[in-house]
Amino acid sequence: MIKTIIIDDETHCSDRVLSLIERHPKTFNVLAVIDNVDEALRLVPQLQPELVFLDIKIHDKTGFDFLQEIGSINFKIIFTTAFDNFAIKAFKFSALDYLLKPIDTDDFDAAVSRLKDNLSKQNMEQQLQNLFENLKPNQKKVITIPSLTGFETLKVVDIIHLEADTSYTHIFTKDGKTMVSKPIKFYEDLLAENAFFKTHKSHLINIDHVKKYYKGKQSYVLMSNDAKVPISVRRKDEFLKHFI
Amino acid sequence: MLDSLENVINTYTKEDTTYVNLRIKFTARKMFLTPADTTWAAYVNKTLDISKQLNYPKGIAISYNNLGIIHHYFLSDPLGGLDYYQKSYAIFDKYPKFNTYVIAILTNIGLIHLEQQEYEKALKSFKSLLKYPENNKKYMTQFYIANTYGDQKKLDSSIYYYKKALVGSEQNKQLLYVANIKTNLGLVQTNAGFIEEGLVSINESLDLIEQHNIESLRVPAYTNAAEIYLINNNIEKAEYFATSSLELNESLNNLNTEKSALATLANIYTQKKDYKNALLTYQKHIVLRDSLINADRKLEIARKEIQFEADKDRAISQVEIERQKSIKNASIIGGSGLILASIISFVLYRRKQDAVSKSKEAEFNAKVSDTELKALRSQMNPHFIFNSLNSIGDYILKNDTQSASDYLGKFAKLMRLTLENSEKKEILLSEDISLLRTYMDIERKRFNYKFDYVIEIEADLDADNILVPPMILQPFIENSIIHGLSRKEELGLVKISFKAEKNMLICSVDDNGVGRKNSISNKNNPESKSMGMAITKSRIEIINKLKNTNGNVEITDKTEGTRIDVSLPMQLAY
Repeated sequence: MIKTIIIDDETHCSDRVLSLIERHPKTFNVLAVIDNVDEALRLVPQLQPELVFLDIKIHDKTGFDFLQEIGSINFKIIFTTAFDNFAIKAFKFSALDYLLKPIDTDDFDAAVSRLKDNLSKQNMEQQLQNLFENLKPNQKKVITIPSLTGFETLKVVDIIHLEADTSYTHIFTKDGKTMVSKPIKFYEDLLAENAFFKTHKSHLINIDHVKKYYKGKQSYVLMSNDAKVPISVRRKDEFLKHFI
Repeated sequence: MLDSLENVINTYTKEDTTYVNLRIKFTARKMFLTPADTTWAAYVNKTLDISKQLNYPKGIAISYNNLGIIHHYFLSDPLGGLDYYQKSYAIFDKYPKFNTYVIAILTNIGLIHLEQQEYEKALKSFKSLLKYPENNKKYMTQFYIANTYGDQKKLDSSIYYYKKALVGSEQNKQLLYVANIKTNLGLVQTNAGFIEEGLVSINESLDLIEQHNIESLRVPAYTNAAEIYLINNNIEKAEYFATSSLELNESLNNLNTEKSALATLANIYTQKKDYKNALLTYQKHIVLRDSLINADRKLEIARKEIQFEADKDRAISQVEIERQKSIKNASIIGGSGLILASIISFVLYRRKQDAVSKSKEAEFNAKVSDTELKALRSQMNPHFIFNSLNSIGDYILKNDTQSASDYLGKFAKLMRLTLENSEKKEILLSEDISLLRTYMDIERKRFNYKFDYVIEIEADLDADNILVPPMILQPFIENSIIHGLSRKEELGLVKISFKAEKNMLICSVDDNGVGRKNSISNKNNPESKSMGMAITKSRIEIINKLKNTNGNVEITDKTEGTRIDVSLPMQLAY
């Protein structure tokens, strides 16, 4: 049984989470449902939950306020939010779990199974630290990469290129490469606003790391780590637009 | 003779005023013979530079004038031309001996303003021309003034100046002008309510054209005659002149007259209650009209186009008839734009202008289509939303809160995805399929799992590399479910498949439902299900127009159920 706390200022939202929890008998042990940050700050250290469903807007405070004030965090978090593009981007960058309200049953079930897989893995300090980095406006983004041993943090500007390998993706930086078990499409969407360009079905490059461009029947680019990345015929014109 | 002049210039070694005058002479003689020669601008610019070094006002002013002509007529850049004319005018104006030049320049400036629909400025230029005693073609100036007033719908002033111009041109035995003035006068008189005078004028003009074979006037005269007869309710003659004008214009390709003739013809069709042709003709007119005017008004027309496109397939309801009426009024105004502004018949200029217009037209068409695509897709979303809201309402009525809540979650997810994708023209087939799955999961729930679905993708198709317009199959699936399967007693099945055939992607929806013939909603209300279908068809039409392909929708009524095949151009992402 996972010791669980729900923090949400709207009853119908916490009720919804409760009804979804009921579908997973013997999985959750709900210790408390809390509707304000102050009480949460008082109760959470006392009750020592393993999991917190955390709303983002809680009266005039936010779930982030709660996390920053609580100090040490030794529980898992699943954020729940209605629609906040900015925060969602930050969650994705930091590889944190979140559910969009109104919560879809399948999405909830998927989150539960991810939770079961990861519960024992190291604490969330690093991911949350990355989250706060990413939430700062105009900050250089950092990306959290789940790896076999835990999590790794990469600066987006240091990523040179990515290559798809079936449902895995290799991420190349000047220090070498990392493999993650996410499809390249995930990173394509995530990095779309950050000077990344899909040159080929299985290649995503950081435009800022392009060293040279070779034209020809099969054109390609030379990246700052001297890797050659092909550019598909259909993407060539679009690619060249970035350099005009 | 020309060659010898060229020789003199080539062998001339000193850059003095004589040299400048020789170059000017050479330009004047040869420039109009080879307007397509793009080196003229450079040549004239050099003359200008030498003149400037010599501080030779005549050379500078004539060069500016020539550059004005090059920009105005050869390069179809009237505003660039205007700058040069004005520079030239500023110099010439100081020397009365150059008044003949001033007259030519002011005329050109006036014409540019007229073309740009800057009527006040045009009138100012033209009217100042009447003050010059050197202006021995005052009837020409009066004619331009009359045209300007006509374009401004100041019909009385227009008639006044036409009559003045008529007197002058008759005195000078300028037949061409007489005919031209009468062509325009007839239209203005008719529009001003002088119906009989209008008929007399246009018929006199038509007679002159016949007697003296004035071919250059035939098309505009026919165009005006069509409009005049239309206003006289003589539909037969109106149609005769409108179609003759369009036929003759085919070889001339003057977009301006074509535009007016199309407007008149659209009105004729409206009068004949032939709304389909009226609409088609009016659309052609709109495209032409737009290619002839500036960018600001383009959007307005694009909006109109979309409106029409959206209404095209609807029956001609009262609303449509009202709109047709408003089209008629709008194009009587639009169509009466006077055509014969420049009798100096700048054929060269027009040709160039037409080429430019055509490319603009193509550009515009693409833009219209683009907008339409967005507009049409935006219609899909409300369609979705209300169906789903209905279902949720249903659960609430039945007190099934759990289902209502579950359904709401799914619906919200689908809305998010739909909104995200609605901004995109194309998405990956794999994404589209997952969108369709979400949609069908919702519908399955709504219909109490009365049907199953399968999605088949041909083995060698790479769903991660094929682009499709988002949710193109959705309306068909919706039809299958709602009209075919929901009424079936046993468990139904929707089979969705994707395969390649030649350079096309064939997307099919195949159900084992009750079929179109047995669908109750179909019997009661044949229009009810065509909305989504019509939108999809229009989307495919637009894709065809944009990509120059021949995608289409085919409906097959099987013995049991219905099959839809949508063929789209095969589009690869990478």
